[in-house]
Amino acid sequence: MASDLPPPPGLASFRALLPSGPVEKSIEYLISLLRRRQIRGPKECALATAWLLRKVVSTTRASEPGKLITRVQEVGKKLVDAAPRELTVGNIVRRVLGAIREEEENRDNGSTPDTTPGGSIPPTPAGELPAPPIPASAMYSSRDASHSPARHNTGRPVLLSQQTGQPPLRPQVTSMFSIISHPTMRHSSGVSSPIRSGSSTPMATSQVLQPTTDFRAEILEAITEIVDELDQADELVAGYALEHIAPSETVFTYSTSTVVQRFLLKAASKRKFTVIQAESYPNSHKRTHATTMGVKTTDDEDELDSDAFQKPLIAAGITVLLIPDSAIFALMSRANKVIIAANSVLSNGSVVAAAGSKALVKAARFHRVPVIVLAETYKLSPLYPYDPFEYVDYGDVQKVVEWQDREMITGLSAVRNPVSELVEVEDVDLFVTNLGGVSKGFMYRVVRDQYRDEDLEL
Amino acid sequence: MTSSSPAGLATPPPERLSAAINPQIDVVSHYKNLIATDPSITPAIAAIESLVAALTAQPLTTITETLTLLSTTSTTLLASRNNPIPLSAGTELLQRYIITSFQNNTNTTSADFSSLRRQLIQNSKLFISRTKSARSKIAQHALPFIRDDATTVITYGSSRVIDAILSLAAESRRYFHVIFVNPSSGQEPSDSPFSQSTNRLLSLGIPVATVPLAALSHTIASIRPSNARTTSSNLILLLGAEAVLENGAAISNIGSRLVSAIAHDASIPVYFAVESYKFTRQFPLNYGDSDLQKMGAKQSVLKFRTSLEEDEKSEMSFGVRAEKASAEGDGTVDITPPELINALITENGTITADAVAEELIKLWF
Repeated sequence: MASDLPPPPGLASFRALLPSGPVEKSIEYLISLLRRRQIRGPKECALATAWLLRKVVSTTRASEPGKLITRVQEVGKKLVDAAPRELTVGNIVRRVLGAIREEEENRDNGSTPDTTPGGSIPPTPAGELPAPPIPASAMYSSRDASHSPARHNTGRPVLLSQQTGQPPLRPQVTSMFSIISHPTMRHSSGVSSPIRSGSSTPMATSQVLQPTTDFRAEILEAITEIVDELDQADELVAGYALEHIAPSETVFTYSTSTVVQRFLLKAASKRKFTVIQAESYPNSHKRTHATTMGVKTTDDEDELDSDAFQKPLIAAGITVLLIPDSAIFALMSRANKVIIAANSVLSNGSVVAAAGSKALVKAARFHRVPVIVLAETYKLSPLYPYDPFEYVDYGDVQKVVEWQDREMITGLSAVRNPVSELVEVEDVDLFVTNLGGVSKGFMYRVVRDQYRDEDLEL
Repeated sequence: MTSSSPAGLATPPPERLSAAINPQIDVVSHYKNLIATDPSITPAIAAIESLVAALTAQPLTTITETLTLLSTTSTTLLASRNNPIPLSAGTELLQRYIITSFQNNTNTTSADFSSLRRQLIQNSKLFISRTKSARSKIAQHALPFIRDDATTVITYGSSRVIDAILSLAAESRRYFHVIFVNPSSGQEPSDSPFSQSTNRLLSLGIPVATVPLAALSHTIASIRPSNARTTSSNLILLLGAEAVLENGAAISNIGSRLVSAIAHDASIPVYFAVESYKFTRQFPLNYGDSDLQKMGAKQSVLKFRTSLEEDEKSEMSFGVRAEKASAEGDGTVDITPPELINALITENGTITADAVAEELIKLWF
């Protein structure tokens, strides 16, 4: 940073402060930034959380992963409380906890195999009915391990594989495999493990051979992987664009987000189509206009967006129709599909998205237009939407009624400016994550696969 | 409704061995006895317990014998019921469990079968005790659905899981409203399980309304405006189920589908609270009588008549049978298709109807 002025409080200032200050101070600073919403938005919050946890892990003196878990949980809880509606904070905390638990298990397996020896019947039934919180994968591995002890470490793919886009099909593949594999043939299970855990297998086995000495290095590496994933996720999602946009289609989209913009641009590199863009007044219409026109925003909130600024769609030869929100229903009948970005996807597939998305989605449903939701895996949250109102976030009222028109406010009982809302899963047709297209019925599994069952409640 | 043949250990044709095995214990009467003595037991658990009792009573020496005994006794048991679907979930689960246990132990302890058998019976009992604890876990998982001060729970039919959920919510000092939908328009006798749960909730200070099924749509229309004044009104339909099929469809006492459809029409979320041992590997192609019959249920609601006489006869027998059957937990049922179900609340957490197939695969393979 060459400038003399310190950056305004936000992601940049947090990043600048992070390497120098003591860890407690960094935690406090991030909490205050989150509380004041000086850091907001799914990606920004996720990045800040990952950076902070990397620092927490590297500075915590812990001789064993268990202590580290409690420490990360403690910090994580504070962060989640500071920004309860930024679900990516919790997601990243869970991911980091998952990475630590992974290490813990690798260490345990190195010393004492925790699997049941073949001699005794495991007291739990095949399906783990009244499940104590054992992850499903542990179940499979412990059962298989009685036949081939060398395999018990491959039960769950190492976190890396999930981030690099390995489809998380582990439980299904394992179980389907055991249908065809005769029990007596299970010794030749070298065949099964590559199918099951893909590229992660070699790594997992190598960890068995040399019990890890410095688990913290491994965890830090995993966190770096998470950060890398955060940076690359929208590009990965955009990589699937050509599968979903056909030539000369009309695509309806709403508001503006980096991931949708990249997605459309990627498709525009090969295909000609039309985009109808609803402006999303009053919270992001300025940004939407700027993105369509190809003008850089001077909006102070969006540091990252201006970094990742894209050339406009018009420059790529796409016909763009910018419309006011009031015309959504009128123009919906012309669209072939709706593509929106999610702020978060919850465990049953319900989507937290920019306010107004639900109206758009309902209009699409009315005209039977398929709805595609773009969601990077770090946006998948294991929470269940018990109360849809919990996910409505409110923003600056001034954007609805200007401060100088105060007398108008006094005449009204309340002025509200919702920024986000919950779109129920029933109205969504397809999700596109960094792992590819996921149908709504399968979303629960993809969400579950991101996290360890122990970490669902922080 | 025969059990699928075990994956690993091929069962020899049962006719060869069944002559050798005469179950010394009458599973059917044992089952009836269990249902009669323990009001909190579910058909699936009672079926499992009966099978374990049959296993214990029989001196068995080989694995094949054990499996054959299991399969013949469960066939006898299932054949004795009007609606064997909930039982079949239990019997098949136990058979599957025992086969898996054998598979895991084939190499080591084949020499000493009696100790293996003892261990197996012991584990089966543990298995039963664990499945029994599922209900209280479901109540815990269902608690967040009942939000303080804003929730109205609509429920239909008497289900012990729903009872457990509502009692737990009331005991954890949540204030909510309950609407019991009564299948008949008349007054229930005061000792029915239905009015017992009403009384329990009333004693815990929970406002309870009872409406006849015919008035449900009207009731929903009546509660909506007054509740909408609170910022987040929360109206949910909470039902119990006797069994859940592979595509997530729920088998529950007759009328559940109607209630679900009405709720769905009014955009009220429909939740089924169900223990995962009630999941059964049957895939319905449609949701009518004939589909239930394919799964072994002796039920035909739709009967055309050609004379008045015939009608009276069948009407009476239907009524009498229904009354008798519901006392034994064997009443008329219908299937609620998965499209109407927002979520299933199980002891393993809240899952979507789509997830049932995967849960079954996990239980079975």
